[in-house]
Formats: sequence, C-alpha cells, structure tokens
Amino acid sequence: MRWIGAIILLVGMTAIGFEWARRLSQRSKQIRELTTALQHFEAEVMYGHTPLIHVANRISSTVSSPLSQFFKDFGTRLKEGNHDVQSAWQESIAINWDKTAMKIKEKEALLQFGQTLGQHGRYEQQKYIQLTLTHLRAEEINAREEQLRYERMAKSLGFLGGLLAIIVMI
Amino acid sequence: MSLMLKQSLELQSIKNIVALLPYQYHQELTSVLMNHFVQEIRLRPNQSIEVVLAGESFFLRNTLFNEADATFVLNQLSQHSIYAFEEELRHGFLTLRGGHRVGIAGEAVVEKGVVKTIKHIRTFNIRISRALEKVSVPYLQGLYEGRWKTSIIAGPPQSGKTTILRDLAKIMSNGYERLNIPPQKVAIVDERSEIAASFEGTPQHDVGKRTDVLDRCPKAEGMMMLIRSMSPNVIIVDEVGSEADIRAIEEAASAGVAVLCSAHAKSMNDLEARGIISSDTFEGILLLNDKKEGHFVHKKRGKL
Repeated sequence: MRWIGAIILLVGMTAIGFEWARRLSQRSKQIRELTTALQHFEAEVMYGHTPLIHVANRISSTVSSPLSQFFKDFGTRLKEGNHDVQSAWQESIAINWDKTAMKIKEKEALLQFGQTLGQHGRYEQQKYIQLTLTHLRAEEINAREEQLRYERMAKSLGFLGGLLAIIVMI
Repeated sequence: MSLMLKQSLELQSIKNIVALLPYQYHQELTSVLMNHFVQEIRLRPNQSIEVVLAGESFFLRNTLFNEADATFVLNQLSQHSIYAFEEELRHGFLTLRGGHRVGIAGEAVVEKGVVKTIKHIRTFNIRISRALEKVSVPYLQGLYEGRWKTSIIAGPPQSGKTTILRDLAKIMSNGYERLNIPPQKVAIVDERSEIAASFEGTPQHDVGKRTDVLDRCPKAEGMMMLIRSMSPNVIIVDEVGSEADIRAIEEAASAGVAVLCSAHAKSMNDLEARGIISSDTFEGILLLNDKKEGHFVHKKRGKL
C-alpha cells in the first residue's frame, strides 16, 4: 500500500514539473505567435484596409488555440453589434487568458493595445501596433531566457521533489 | 415625380439604414422610412433627428442625438475600423451597401493646407438613394445617332445629372430596342462613387449588363486605364472640370471611344467660361435646369 502511494506521489510531482516546463516553453511560443498575428494585423490595416471584424476572423484561422479562440471571440462580439471595440477586446481577453501560458505583462500590453484599436487612422494605428510589438518582443526574450534557464530544471525538480517527499515520508 | 413616388424601399434596405442608429430609434425610423418618401435623414449633435422628404422636413419627436449616439453611428459606419475608411473620411462621405451615402462633418484636421482627415465626427447626412428608370429616354435621340456622341450633361446641383448618367449607362450596356440602340461595352470611372455607388468593389446600383466600373479612381487616369484594360465602346465619367480631364476625354475620343460626362454649370456661358465646350471633342450638350428638365444642343450644327 505504501509503495503504491509513493509511486502516485512520484508520478504526480513529475507531472507537475513537466507541466511547469511546458508552460515555460508555451509562453515563449504563444508570444511569438502573437507577434506574428500582430504583424498580420498590421498588413491588413496598412495594405488591405480591412475592417476589424474581418481581420479578427482571418487571424483566428491562421493562429493556433488558445489565441485563435481569443480572436474568434473578439470577432463574434464585434459582429453582434452591442459591444464597442474596447469592451469586446477586454472581454475576449478576460475569457481566454487563463487558457494561455502568458503573464501579466503581455496582458497589459494587449489591453493597452485594445484601447487604440479602430480609433485612429492607418499610420497612427500602425504606430500602436509597432509599440505593442516592441513590448511583446521584449517579453519574448525574457520568456525565452526563462525557458532556457528553468525548463530542464523544472522537469528534474518535479521528479526529484517527488523522490524527496517519498524519502521524508518513509 | 409620380415615377419616383412609386419606388418604395426594400425591407432589407430599410434595415441596413436603421442599423446605423442606436437601438432606441429603430422602431420609429423604420415606420417613418416605410410610410414616407424619405430623401435624407439628418443627425446633428444635441438636436432632434431630422427627416427630409421631397420639399418638406420634420423632426422626430422625443429624440436627442448626443455625442454617444454619434460615436455609435460612426462605429457602425466604419465597422469599428477608422483606419479602413481614412480616404472616405477625407472626402467627407461613405457609401453603404445599397448605394446610400452618408455625408459626414466634424472637425477637419488640416496639414499644409490639405484636409488630412475629419475627427470628432458628430454630424451625419444619410442620403437615401433610389434608382430611377428611363429618365434619360427623352434625350436619347440627341445623344445617339447611329453611335453614341461624346457629350456633356450640364446643370446645377440636384438637377439630375448623375441620375441620367446612371440610367444612360444601363441603356447603353443593355441596349434599347425601341430606338434600335444596340448594346455596347460601357466603362464607368466613378471617382466619387456616385454613379454606381460601389460597396467593396461591387456596384450597388444597376448600371447594366455590360458595364465595368472603376471605383474611386481619378478621372483622367481612370479613363486611360479603362481604355487599355476594358476596351470599352463608351466611357462615362462624373463631374469633369480640370484641364487634365478634358485632355483625357480628347484622347479617348481620338481612340474612337465615346465619352459621356457631366459637369456643374448653370448655363452655356458658364461652360464656355470654364473652357469645357471650347474643346472640339464634344459633339453635343444636354443642358438641365433645376426642375430636372433638359434640352439637347448639337454643337457642330447648332450655334452655341
């Protein structure tokens, strides 16, 4: 009985370690995807003159989940017509944020970006996109450093932590 | 006029127009649009909504159009995306699905003497468009003699120049059997998006089966582009005036393409003063007055 408990503990702790590591790598991956999405956004604004609803739908089909869901929700809310852009953007972020691996700084950058959305001419809009991109790129570098530094450690720490707990308990 | 009154708006069209305004006005506006021959709906900040009918107007009771409403209308118009409509804002109007146009006013942002955009947009003029049929028929015998003649349609604003051009486009490209007019290829340079009222590239008015539309393109350049790309028999342009326009028309005419254009002018002297009819290219002038009546003048035969 005791051994079964120990094995469950070990597996559980290892899983937690792996999940932590996955979040670290997911974060930088998602930020990268977000930067690509914003560049797509920029192209649609500058050269396509595409309205927001269409941009949101197009981007949502090119990125992977959970970001795709975020853009999809945003597009749906705009289409319904009873939201202004800012509230549609904020709500979509609020609903989908927990599913992403990103942190508060990325969220702040995105929320600020939402305040400028659709309110300006093309060149102003482009500047805001660039500003957000700069923020995100800085965060991406951070995220990648963290990933390099902690990813393997997180995996082994989970396993070793499990072992430690077993030793202590036995 | 009796012809115009028969044309009621389709339900879908009414829905599209009403959807521009905040929800609390929907019911009243829908019934107004269904029961009256509305030409314009005018929205001004801190005023009641004005409905303009032919020759009269009234305010909707218990309405007050405030700034939040204006923001709502602008968001609906631009689909929440000002950046996508910069050019339209600069010109002061947008075209809706259905060919209706919305004129806007607010605070102009001027840079180096040129209007860059309009901000704080608070005033709107929703102009309801209805296509009129066969308004150009009385003038066909002047404009067509075995071939379409390069002509000018001149008159003051609201005299029906654009309406006649649009109807002509349809008659030219579909043909008109009663007068033995065969169908021909027609190309329209629609700089102000008024003849065909294109929405995202698709004409919202019926301009005929064989008509190609180049939307929002500067006239002089557009005419040359169309001659090269669409090989039209007739080109239609709106509101010519500049020397470059006249030169482009001359060039088109020498390439064997008939050009029909309109111009703002009160009288023949007006046209002459602006150097438009001194050009030998034009074969005739259709002069309209503000009661929407016109007469055709042959240039080479008639004395101007």
